[in-house]
Amino acid sequence: MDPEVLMSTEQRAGPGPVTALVTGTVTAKSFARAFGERCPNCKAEVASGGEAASGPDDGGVLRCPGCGVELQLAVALEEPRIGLWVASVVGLALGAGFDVLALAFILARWLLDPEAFRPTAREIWMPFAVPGALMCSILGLLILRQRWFRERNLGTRLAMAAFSFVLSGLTAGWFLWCKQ
Amino acid sequence: MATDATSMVTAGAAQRFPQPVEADRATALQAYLADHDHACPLCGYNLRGLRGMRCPECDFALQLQLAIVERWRAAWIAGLVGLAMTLGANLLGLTALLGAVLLGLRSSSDWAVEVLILGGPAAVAGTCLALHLKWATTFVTLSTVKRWLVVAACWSLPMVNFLWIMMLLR
Ligand SMILES: [Zn+2]
Ligand SMILES: [Zn+2]
Repeated sequence: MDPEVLMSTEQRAGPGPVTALVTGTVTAKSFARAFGERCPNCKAEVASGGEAASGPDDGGVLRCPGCGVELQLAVALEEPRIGLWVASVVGLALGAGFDVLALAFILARWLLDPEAFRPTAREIWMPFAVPGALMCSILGLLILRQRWFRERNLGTRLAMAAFSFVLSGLTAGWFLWCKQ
Repeated sequence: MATDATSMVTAGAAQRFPQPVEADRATALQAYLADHDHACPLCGYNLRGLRGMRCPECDFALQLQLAIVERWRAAWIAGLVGLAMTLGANLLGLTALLGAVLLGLRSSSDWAVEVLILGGPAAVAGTCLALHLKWATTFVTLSTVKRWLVVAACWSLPMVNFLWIMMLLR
């Protein structure tokens, strides 16, 4: 039986909890209507026009009236802790991109015209291959160990995000140092 | 009233609400987890039968919320990495080039063209990265095939960038 919300959401003044009168099982539909939930993607009010995309007994998937994505109930962290992880990924990808593309450029030039361009092993390994492998490894590790990153406190996460950008900046500095 | 609701949930027999009860978010979370297996989003602990609003394993605060069914984030991150790598290659290339000029490692005559060769793709990659971030909500609504086509487009950028540099930088 479709759960019903007997009373619309009652927003109390101040930071107190939002309460509603509900009956039946807690499904996406009943939850959205009881608490006046908004779509996590487009922020449209799901309760007003969200269509049940499937029956409530198999999890009650709702379709957002704003953007059309399918929504379901999920247990999530109160604080998602994803922003700084994304920032760290971008920060490390900047440096990894520099090393990988520079290395590809040097190797391609060498392979296409070995007579005219013959870099020494030191010119390949030192400025690009070693830091490139390092940056890609850290980036891969960060992506694989997302959970570990999200468990850190805010200060540590901020420091790691800042460090990822600094590390990328250092790849350019390292290249210049090798060139001297 | 909230106490009544909580006792109904924890009693087990009343995981469904046959009678209307006043439910706050904590009650709703507990009611949901009374008859659902759900892994903690952080540590993976099975939260079935949870009492309170914190994971007993990792102690992080939890809440019940509406979430997008489609698994879109992996594709979005993949596209983001491709674009960020392209941006980084050109931006840090520019930084290194200007650093080399300032340190006297490059002659002053031939670097201006290289600034344009690296600056153009940096602007394109930067714009694409900004759009990728800005249009994340649209990305979510795409079908799986279209989503991965966007990722392929994001990764074609470093390839095109590589060919561009190969043609123009000598
Ligand atoms: Zn929406
Ligand atoms: Zn946990």
